Amino acid sequence: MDSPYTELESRAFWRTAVAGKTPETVVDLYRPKFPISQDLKIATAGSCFAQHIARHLRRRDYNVIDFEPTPPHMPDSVAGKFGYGLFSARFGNIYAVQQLLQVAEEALNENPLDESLAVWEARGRFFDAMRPSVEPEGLDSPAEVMAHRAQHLEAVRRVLRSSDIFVFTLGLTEGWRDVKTKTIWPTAPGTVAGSYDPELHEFHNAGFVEIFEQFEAFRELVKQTNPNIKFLLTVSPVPLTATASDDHVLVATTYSKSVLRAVGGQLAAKYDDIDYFPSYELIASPLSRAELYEPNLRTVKSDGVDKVMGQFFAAHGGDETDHLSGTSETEVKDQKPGAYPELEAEEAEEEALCDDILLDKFSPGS
Amino acid sequence: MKKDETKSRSTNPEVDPSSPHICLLGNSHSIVYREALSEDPAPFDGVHLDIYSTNLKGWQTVSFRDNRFVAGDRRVAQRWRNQHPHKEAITPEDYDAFVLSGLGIRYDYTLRVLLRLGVFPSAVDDRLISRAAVKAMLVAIFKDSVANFLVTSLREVTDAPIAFIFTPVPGETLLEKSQYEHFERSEVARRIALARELTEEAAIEVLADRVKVILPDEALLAENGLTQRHLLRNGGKVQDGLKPHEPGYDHAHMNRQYGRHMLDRFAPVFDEMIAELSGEGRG
Repeated sequence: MDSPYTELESRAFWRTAVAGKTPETVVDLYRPKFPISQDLKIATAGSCFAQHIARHLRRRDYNVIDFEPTPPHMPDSVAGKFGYGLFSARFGNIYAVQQLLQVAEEALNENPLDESLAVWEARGRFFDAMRPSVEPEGLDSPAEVMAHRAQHLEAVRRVLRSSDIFVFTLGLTEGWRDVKTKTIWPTAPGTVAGSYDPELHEFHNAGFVEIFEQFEAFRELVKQTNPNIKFLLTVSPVPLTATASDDHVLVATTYSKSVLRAVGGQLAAKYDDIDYFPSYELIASPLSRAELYEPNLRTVKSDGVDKVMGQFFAAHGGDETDHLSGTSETEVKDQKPGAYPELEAEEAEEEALCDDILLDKFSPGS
Repeated sequence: MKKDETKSRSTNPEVDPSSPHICLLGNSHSIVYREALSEDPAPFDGVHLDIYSTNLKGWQTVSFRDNRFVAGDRRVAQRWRNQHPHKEAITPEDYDAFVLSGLGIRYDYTLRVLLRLGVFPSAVDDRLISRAAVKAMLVAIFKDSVANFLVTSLREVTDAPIAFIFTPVPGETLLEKSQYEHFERSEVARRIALARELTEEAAIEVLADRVKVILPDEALLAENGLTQRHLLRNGGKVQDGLKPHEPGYDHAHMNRQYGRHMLDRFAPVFDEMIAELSGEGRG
């Protein structure tokens, strides 16, 4: 009896492709739509998980561009806290596609946000509401925030105009936006700075069509100035810290990731210049048995990221083992030389810096 | 207070053997204190003072093993052995109090950083870096300094009072010609004042919870915020035809007059340290 499944490859069947496998041993999971080689200019942005991707690409000598680079003399431990060296510009974390579209429109249309939307105040200090984590102590004045923001937008413009590959990690569907203009922020007002006012701020949980169209708009806008750019999408496997949706946070997480995964898949299906890399599946699916999460079942272990990126590099024709003599990122940290190693433990931290973890402080019992 | 007869001899052999033993650890800048003390031992008159110095590179070879500071460079060990108190290693338990000077907490780091970054709206290259980021950078640099290494190691083994005397603010001339020319053009005093603020804030954040910090005296500074020319080691005179911004002109090190002024400024703090040891002042 003929069946359309008869001629399918073993990768099409769970029993042969997944059962008994691990994120390290699963094969043929990802077939790149286009090559990503070390001579291409790669840009990265997105949620905190995207920081890992950028770091691993750099360690493999991929050309990850950075138009707001770490200042000279600044140690990595300080740079990360101020948003340097994490992405191709000092984006901070971009969780929502709408936020990505907003910053692209600001940069490429030279139409920056109004100060009333872009600046938040806390304890007499002023923060860039679109990337509050990049200046953890805030700045002296709204004018200084806007000056820094103008510099950032110039860097974003250069990133979008010059990159060959734009890697973006989709993070969240939930967000908080301005009631009047629908401008979305990466964090809720009152989390890092600003103050929540239900008359001015509203919760929004985006759906498939909205996010899909926002990314299409982003793609179209960027291609007007950089027609050959290609996009690589991933979905962050990091669950929500908290939800404002009125659902259980696990249900809300599943909704959010499902929508984002579907958007990524549909965009990749529709456009030849958009690919999807299944980092989400490697970490969050039954394949990993939740072993790649820390005990809080949220934070991705460092070796989990190693395994994901191993699959990525293997698919792109590289060696699956780490570029640095096969050592893991964790082991490399431990080998950091220094005259006074006891003083450097703090600097050795390489965890991704996530804004949404700040929501934890609002949980009962915190 | 230590009364161990096996302790090193003091620079001042007339001192009562039961008097406190003080250890001064410094880099190349400590020569101003040696020279000033050779004329007048105050405020260390009445105590035993041992000075261990080497340049910053030499200090960077020093490790803390078996509760002693041991030089990794044999030339440093040789230098310490040749000079009073003729010991190759420094044993903290031999001392009642410690005075540190320089040792990597330097204003010129900040001046360099500010020049290269072009911080704030008057940026050299229009790149904006926040004050907080620059300060955090300096804090990280100073946490890796020899001074912090010594303080951290000392605090592992002793509660003895520790004072830290800042490296002098550089002289009227700066490090390199390009920098000199830049400072000539731009708002010199404002930038140098900013460098001072940031350096001192960062150093205090790193050290002040464990040591008494003595800052350079503003009375020693010129209008532009750098140390007055007549206090430079070369006395501000043109040497061998060199102009102030040319290589070889010593803008960084000060003279014994500077050393005496700072020692006098340090004296009240030192009195507090001694009072802390004995429960009463010396005077």
